[in-house]
Amino acid sequence: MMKVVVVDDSVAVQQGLGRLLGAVSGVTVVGNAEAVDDALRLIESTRPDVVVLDVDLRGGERGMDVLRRVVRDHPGTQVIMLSNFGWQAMRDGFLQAGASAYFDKSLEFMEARDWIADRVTAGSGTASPLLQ
Amino acid sequence: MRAFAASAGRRESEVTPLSLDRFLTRLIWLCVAPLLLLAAYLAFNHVWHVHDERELEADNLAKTLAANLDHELSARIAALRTLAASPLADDPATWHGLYREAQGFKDSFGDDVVVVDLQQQVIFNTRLPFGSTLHRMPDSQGRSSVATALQTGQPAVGDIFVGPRVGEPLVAVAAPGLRDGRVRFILATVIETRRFQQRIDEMTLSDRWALELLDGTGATIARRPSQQRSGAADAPAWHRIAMKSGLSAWQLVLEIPRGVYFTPLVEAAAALAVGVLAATLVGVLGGTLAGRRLARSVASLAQEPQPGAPAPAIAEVGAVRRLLDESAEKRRQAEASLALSEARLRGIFASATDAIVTIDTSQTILMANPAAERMFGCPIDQLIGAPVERLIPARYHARHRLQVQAFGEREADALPMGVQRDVVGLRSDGEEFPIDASISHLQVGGQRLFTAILRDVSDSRRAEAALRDSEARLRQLLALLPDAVFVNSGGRIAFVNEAASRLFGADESALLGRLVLELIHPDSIEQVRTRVAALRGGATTVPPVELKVVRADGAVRTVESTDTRFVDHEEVSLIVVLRDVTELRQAQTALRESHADLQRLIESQNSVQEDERKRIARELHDDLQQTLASIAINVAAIGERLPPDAAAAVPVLAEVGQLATAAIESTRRIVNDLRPQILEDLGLVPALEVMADQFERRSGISCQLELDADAGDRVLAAPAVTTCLYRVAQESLNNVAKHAWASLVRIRLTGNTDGSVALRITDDGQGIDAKDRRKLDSFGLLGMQERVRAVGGRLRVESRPGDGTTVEVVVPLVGAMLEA
Repeated sequence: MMKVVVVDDSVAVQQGLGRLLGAVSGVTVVGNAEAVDDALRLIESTRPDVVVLDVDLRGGERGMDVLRRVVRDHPGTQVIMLSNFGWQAMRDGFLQAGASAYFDKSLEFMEARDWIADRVTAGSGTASPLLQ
Repeated sequence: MRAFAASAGRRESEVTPLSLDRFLTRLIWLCVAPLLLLAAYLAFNHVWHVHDERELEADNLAKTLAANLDHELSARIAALRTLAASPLADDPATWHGLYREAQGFKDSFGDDVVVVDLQQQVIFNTRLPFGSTLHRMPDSQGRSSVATALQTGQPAVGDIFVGPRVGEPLVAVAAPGLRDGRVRFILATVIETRRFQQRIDEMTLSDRWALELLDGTGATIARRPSQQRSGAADAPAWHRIAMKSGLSAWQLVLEIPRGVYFTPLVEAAAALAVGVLAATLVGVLGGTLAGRRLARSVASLAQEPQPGAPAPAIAEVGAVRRLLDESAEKRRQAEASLALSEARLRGIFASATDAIVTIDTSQTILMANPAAERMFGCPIDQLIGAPVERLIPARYHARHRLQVQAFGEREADALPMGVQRDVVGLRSDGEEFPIDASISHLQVGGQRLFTAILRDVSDSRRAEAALRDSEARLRQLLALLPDAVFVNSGGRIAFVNEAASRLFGADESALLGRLVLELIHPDSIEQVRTRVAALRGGATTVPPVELKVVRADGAVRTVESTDTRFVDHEEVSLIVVLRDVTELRQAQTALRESHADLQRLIESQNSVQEDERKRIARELHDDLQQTLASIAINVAAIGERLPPDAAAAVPVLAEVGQLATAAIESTRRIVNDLRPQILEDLGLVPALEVMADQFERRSGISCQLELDADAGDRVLAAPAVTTCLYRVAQESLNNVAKHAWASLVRIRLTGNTDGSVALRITDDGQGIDAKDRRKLDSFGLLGMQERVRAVGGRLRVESRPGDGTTVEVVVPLVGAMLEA
């Protein structure tokens, strides 16, 4: 099973994503977090294969801080960004920082689901759309 | 009469002047003649001197020769005497001894010795052996030496005699043999004359000279002829010097041909004479030529200068010529200027606008000019000869006559003088008119003349009246003028109008004569000094300036001063016009402050508005958008998990999903319009890029960007400027989308070297029609204007119908702005 953690400051979004990703066979959502410290603790304890990460976190905290720590401390964990900011500059910034993919939270969540499903099918947690 | 004529003629002939040429010729001869005489004298003197020297020389030679001869003879006589005194002669028995001694004599002198007894019988002869038979001594034709010695008892030298044997010519020198005072015998030596000949021949003597030794009878003993004489028989005179021997009757004759020393002398004298003559001739010739030249030069002075004629060859004459020419030129100029002056005076007389009338003491008009004719309306020919009273109204006749008389008497011996007086003239048509008259009088050839220069002053009287009226009006105008006017004359107030009195709070009498600077506030004194100096220096105007003045009550007023200069009686004065702008300036200041307040208000409103927008945008983004996203995600999740029997719900779910997506997009646009997060997060340049991208997609109008990243970074430090520029771009693009009908938009962000940043949005649309300019308000341009002004920038909108629109913002990024 592929373990997924959802990090988003909106509980409604966490729940929605949990349902959407949980429906994918071979994927289990192992936990949700709303802020940086919560997220890092969760990742440390669950060692997920994929982290779905928002850009803005609760209390004005930044998703970028989570991404940098994961990239540094958990090279086996892939991070996909899911954000309401659709600007290219922003996408480029996160991809350069080590995110495996970047999706528009409002308009591209299905593409995010498909990206995770593809990783399950391929049996690999390392491939990213950029590398394909 | 005749005598007078004759004497006159003589005088004339006496004073006929010598021509310069002849004078110079005489002068030259006068100089040369003494030289000639001196040269002749010197030549003659030299010839005679040399001649005398030669004669003396010849004389000395002759003396020397004679002395030599005497010396020879005396030597023989002395030897003979010695021999004669010998004791061997006392006794005939010892005569052979004497013979031997005589042989010794012969050995010494080379001449034979004979001893002769008192009968002149030769006892022995050293030429013959002792004891030979001998003759008597042969007789001489002249004086015999033996006979003479016998008679005188003294040694003697004889003349030529012929030898008895060979018959050769001989001479003898005899000495008596004295015993007890009586002659006992004669001892004589016989000398062959050829021996003398030999001596003469051996002598060093000019071969042209002749030398002859003669005995007492004049017969030749020896002779050396001159080569000259034998060569030229007809030789000229000879100079002959005869020198007698002291011991004999012989004489030596030296003959010198005169030519020998005289001819060279004559030749030298002749050469000298020829030289002197030639030099004289050359001198005379040169002198004559120079004299002629001088004479020609001097003669040229008497002629008129010819143009192009050569200048005189002699400098001094040339100088005189130039002086003459200059003086002639001056005279010509003086004549010309005199003629001109006369013509001018005639012209002045004829063309003067003033009437000129000359009268004599009987008051009759002698001269009148055309102006007089015009002034009095009477032809000149009628004026001349008429009494001057014709030009004066009858009631003034008596007074005028008295005045003229008094004037003439009082100034009888004075030079011309003028008197100006107002008089009244009378025209021929009876009209009277005022006249300014200037009268002078002068004596001409004993006649006293009065000349009046008359000017009709009726026009100028009218003009004076008009001027007075005009001045009165001007004073009235100045009195009514609301602006203060005063005249600054020499730094003091020379005139003030009523408004000036009001401005300074003092009446005219208190202001007149006061120092202008006393009325000026200390802050403005330097300015006033500069202006006054500029105007006095010749500037006609200076730009208006604002000054402070002090009223009499000490209050300070602000005035606008306009000054100009004018020249009054050769003194520069200034007219100063002051407008009291105190209230105006106060109002302006208040207005400026009010405007600044308004500006600050707009600024703060902008800021409030911007904050509000930011807050709303954040709310929408963080809250509504999250909610909408979760709706969409949940709808999708439900769709994934729908049981198979709920197929009817699928289209409903799809529709809800689409509605959610539409709502998300709308929200995003609204958020973006309100306050783009990207502007805060990433800055102006990415925000503009996103804006352009969205604009392209929404409007279908292509968008070209030229954004200077450095300028974007600089703007980042001033959030207010960033927002302003972003809003201007946003508003401009809205206008393009709504009104321009454009196909291309260019957005350009540049940093200028002065530190400012410029944003320029250009479209190729239809532009804004001039008559739609008012629509600018509706285009939101006014709002842009205020935003830009609030950050200290400048907005410029440029548009021509059919030629697109350009909106340009330039914002200076000065320190103050960055802090804000």
